Amino acid sequence: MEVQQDSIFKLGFDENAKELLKSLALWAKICSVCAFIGYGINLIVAFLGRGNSRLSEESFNAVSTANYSRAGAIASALISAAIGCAINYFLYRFSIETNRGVNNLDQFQLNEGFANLKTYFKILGIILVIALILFGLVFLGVLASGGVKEY
Amino acid sequence: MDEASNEPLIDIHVDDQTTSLLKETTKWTRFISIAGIVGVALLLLVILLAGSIIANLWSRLIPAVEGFGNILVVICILIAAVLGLMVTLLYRFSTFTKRALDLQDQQLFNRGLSSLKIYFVINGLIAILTLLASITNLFKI
Repeated sequence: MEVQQDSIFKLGFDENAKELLKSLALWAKICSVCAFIGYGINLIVAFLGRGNSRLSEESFNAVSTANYSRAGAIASALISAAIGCAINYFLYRFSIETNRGVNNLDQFQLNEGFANLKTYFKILGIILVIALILFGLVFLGVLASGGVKEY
Repeated sequence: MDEASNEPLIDIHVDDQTTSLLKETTKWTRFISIAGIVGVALLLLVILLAGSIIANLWSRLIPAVEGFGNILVVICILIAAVLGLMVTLLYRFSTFTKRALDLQDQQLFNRGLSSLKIYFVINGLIAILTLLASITNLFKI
C-alpha cells in the first residue's frame, strides 16, 4: 500500500526554492550590510571631510560659503542615512528571518521574512511616488517659468 | 510493502498568509519595475537625442576631460543597461510569482524567486562597488 501525503498547499518550497531563498537571503544581507557601512562612512566623510578646507580659506565670505556647503553636505548625508537605514533595516530583517525560516523549517519566521520584504518594496515604491511627484512639480515649475518669460 | 514518504512532517509551504504577503509584494515590485522601465527608456532617449550636447557640456565643465566626452555617454548607456536589466528582473519576479500563486505552479514560482535572486545579486555587487568608492573617499580626507 502506498501512503499518500498530499499537502493542502499545492505550492511549497522544494529543495530548489529553498536554495534560491537561502541565496536570496545571503545577497539581501550583503546589500543591507554594505549600505549600513556605506552610510556610516558617508557621515564620517561629511562631518570630517570639509573641516580642513574651511581652515584654509582666508576671507570671511569664503569661510561662510564653506560653512554653508559643509552644513549642506552634513544635512544631505544625515537625511540619506536616515532614509537608507530605515529601508535597509527591513531588507536585513528579511534576510535574517528568511534564512532562519528555511533552516529551521519555521513557517512563522518565513512569513515574517516575507512581511519585511513587502515593507522594503512598499517603502521603495512610496519614495518613488514622492520622487515622481517632486519631479513633476519641478517640471511644471520650469514650464511655467518659461511661459512667464515668453509672455 | 508500505512505502514511507521521505518528506519531513514539518515543512514550509506557501500558505494563505505567504500568498497574501507575496501578492502585495508583487504589486509594489510591478509598480517599481514599470516606473523603472519608463525611466530607463527616457534616459536612453535623452542620451540618444542630446548625447553630443551632454558630451560638449561635460568637456566645458571639466576642460581636463576634453575629447573624452563620448566616454560619459558610453558610461550613461552602461548605467542605463544595468538599470534596465535590474527593472526587467524585478518585473519578471512580479509576473512569474503572481502567475505562480494564481495557477499554483511550482516551476513558475521558482523562476520568480530566481529572478529576484539575480536582482539582489546585481544589487549586492553595486552595493559592494559603492562601498569601495566610499572607503576610497574616506582615505582622501
